[in-house]
Amino acid sequence: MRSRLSSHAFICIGAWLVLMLVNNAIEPLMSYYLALVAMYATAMFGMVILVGLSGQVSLGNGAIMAVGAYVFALSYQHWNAVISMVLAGMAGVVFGLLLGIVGARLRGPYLAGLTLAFAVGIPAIANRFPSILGGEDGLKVPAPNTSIAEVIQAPTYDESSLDQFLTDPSSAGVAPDPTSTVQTFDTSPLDPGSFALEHWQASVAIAVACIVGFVALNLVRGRQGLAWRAVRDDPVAASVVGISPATTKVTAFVVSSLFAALAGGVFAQILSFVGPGAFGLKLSLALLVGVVLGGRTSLVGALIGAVIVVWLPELVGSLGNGWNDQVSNNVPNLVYGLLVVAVVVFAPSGITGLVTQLRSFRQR
Amino acid sequence: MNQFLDFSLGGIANGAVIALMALALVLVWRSSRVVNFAQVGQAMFTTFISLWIYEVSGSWLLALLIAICAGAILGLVVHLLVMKPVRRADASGAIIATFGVLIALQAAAGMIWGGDPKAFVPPVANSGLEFAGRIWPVSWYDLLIFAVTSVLVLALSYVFTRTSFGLAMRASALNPEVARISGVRVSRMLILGWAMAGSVGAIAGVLIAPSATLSPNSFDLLLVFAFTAAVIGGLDSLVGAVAFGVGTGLVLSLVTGYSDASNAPIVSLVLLVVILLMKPDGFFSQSKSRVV
Amino acid sequence: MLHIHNLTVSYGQVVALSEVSLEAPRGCVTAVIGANGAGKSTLMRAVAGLIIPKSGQVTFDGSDLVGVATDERVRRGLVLVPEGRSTIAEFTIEENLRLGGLWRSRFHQRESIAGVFDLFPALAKRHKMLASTLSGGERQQLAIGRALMAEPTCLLLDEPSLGLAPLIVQQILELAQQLAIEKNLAILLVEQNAVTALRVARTGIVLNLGEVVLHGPAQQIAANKDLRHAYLGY
Ligand SMILES: Nc1ncnc2c1ncn2[C@@H]1O[C@H](COP(=O)(O)OP(=O)(O)OP(=O)(O)O)[C@@H](O)[C@H]1O
Ligand SMILES: [Mg+2]
Repeated sequence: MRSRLSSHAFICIGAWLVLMLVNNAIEPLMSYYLALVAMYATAMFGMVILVGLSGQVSLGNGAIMAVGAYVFALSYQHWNAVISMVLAGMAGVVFGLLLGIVGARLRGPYLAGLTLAFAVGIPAIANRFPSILGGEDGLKVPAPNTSIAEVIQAPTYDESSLDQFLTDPSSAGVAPDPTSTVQTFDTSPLDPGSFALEHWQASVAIAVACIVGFVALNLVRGRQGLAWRAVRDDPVAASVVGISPATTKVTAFVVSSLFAALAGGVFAQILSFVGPGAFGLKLSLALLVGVVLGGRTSLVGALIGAVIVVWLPELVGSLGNGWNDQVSNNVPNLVYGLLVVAVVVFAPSGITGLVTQLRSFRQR
Repeated sequence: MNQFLDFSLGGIANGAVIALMALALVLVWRSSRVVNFAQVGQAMFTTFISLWIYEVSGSWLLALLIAICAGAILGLVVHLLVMKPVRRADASGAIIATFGVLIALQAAAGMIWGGDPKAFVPPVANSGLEFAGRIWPVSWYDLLIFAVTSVLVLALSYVFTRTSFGLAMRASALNPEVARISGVRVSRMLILGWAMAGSVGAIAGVLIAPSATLSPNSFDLLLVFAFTAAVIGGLDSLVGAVAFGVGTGLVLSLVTGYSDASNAPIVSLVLLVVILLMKPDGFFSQSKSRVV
Repeated sequence: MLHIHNLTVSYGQVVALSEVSLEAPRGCVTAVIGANGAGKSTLMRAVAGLIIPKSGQVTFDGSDLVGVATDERVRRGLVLVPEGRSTIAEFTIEENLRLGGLWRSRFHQRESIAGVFDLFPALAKRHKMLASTLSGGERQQLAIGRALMAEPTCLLLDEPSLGLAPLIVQQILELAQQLAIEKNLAILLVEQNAVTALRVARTGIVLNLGEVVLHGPAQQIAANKDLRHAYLGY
């Protein structure tokens, strides 16, 4: 038991060290992508647990990310980032518990529909309380005034250009416009390649992803992971051997919501802004797409999914370059939709599943 | 009181469209035990086609007919290419696949027709009728919606309860194996179920388009409302879907009237949570007796 | 006339039936007996077309059934009454019956329903009630009635007596014999209840772990003491 714990710690600390080294060596724009990948991975670890291991297809995690982001933004107006992250996580646990208590009673399609309504309904709440939550304009999250970053002027992004992947396909930019990033560096006193705001954001995202990854590894490979699978495959048999299906399912909701809320807090820092537009149904769908493509039941799959979700729009976006915006903006989503269908039909366990199959095929 | 009446009347037309979309969800559920979350995507797509035909030909009826055909074909394609190959044991996969189809359809529509909202001009006046000395919140177009919806619902319930085809359809949904050993061509019934659902959804799309604008994402909320209605109705019941579809329309119209339109999704969510907490299988559900 | 020739069926790696051959002529009952897991249901389901066999042939009235779907087999007159009471609980008794012959003309359907009601008066009285209100034995009658609605020439009965009282078992098996003779049906009857089954059957086979261990006239099987001890356990 202890050796497993320490080996997991070893993996996560190793990953953290490597990623931090990488982060220091790359351009700010790459660092920004790295931050996004780490943020998506954090949320997708939770999706693996909820959708893959416990078999509950939920679209609510995007909304939970919104909860985390808003709590972070509100708290950050008064306290520091660490306290704000803790509060965001606590809010995630509370919402996860509520959603789980309702959701764990439901069979597949009912749950998917309920969480769909949740994903559509929760962002609308931001508009209900404009005085606190800022309505459509959202809340600003000022960049940290740290001695490391020494960023004098916080770069603010054009909101629409940040609507990465699925968050808004109809908006003009599919990916953040690199020129805007370059501009921020014109206003920054630091040389490109030194520690810019993007580097700082990425290091926060990486730290959170590594901690969450450590927790997830221990849960998934431990007794709890077994319980989740058992309840997913046969709730009756599981209850006979003393695993309570209801508690186990609710636990999956709570854990994945905790992760989602933390990811939301990170997202707020990356965006320097929290608004209802960034957390719509599309974000929830993005999380689902990511884990399905990567491999529904595997944490490594979540990592791959996070990379795909951030990187694929870039890749296929360039495919549509010859065409007008109307076409090229929609290429990534079309590819996602078709890929999801293809994966579900031909390779239900995603890319990681394919790799495992290929390996066992070679060995034979 | 007058205001209440106005809001209620105004909600019925929207409710009728929600009912139609809920009906489409129920048709698919009955034939293959899948909630087709791509249904609104299919409807959005066929409504774009229909709008194009309408603009070219000027005939609303022709546009509606084309939408019905396109809806049937699209339903059939989704069933044959996507849902049928998904492994039966993979329940999560089936749900996820419908979302994949939704994403792909919305992207495809965005590619072809662009993301900007388009107006769909109603074939008859969509302004309040004047009657008995006041203007009512019901237009000729609303009456057209009622008419189409009622005819459709009556026809469908006749087919399902009175004809051999309906019996075969219900048997295939309730117990495919028993249906098969009774000589029913179950796979054909599945195809027909998806095609019919596609057509019904397409009609709903064409009917609601003039009351809103048409864009790749404009039916997302309709999906939530229709799902709410279908679930409250138990997912299995045509009557339930229609009754609660109209009911959902009414409630939403009252909410919108007395407060603000942006509250509608929140109310829908609350409604859904309350109902599902009380009855995790919906009101009209028969699934208790299913295991026999 | 049903001919089964060297039929082999496997579920993944597990071979459930290997090279089973059998004939079921019209006008009599042919019994298939064997212990739990012997492969009896597998045989019936493969003949009905619900499982695709790995190899071997099923011929029905002279035509090979390979690639013929279950529903088409039913329409040709080869009808299965599966194990367990396979009625649709949400349907009324009349709807359950109608389901069995939907492709036939209204006139023929009505005629067949009258015939079934003659055979099972208990069903006639309650034809508007839901099948879920019936007792186990009545539901078995309904399942057989539904099969008869197809106007079959060959009936596959998979353990029709499962869970029924001895007296009713007796009745149902005698009914099978009566149907075979009066309607000139070929009946393939699966039974745990070897003694009663062999009494109404003309010929039979004994299955063990997917293989035919004995094939012959019913009395001969009933008289074979060694076999009874080894495979049937009485
Ligand atoms: N769907 C299936 N998948 C895998 N194996 C199966 C399946 N159905 C049956 N088997 C196996 O095939 C063998 C034969 O099963 P079958 O149902 O034909 O037995 P049976 O003779 O009808 O038994 P019983 O008298 O209990 O009904 C058994 O070992 C069983 O475990
Ligand atoms: Mg059996």
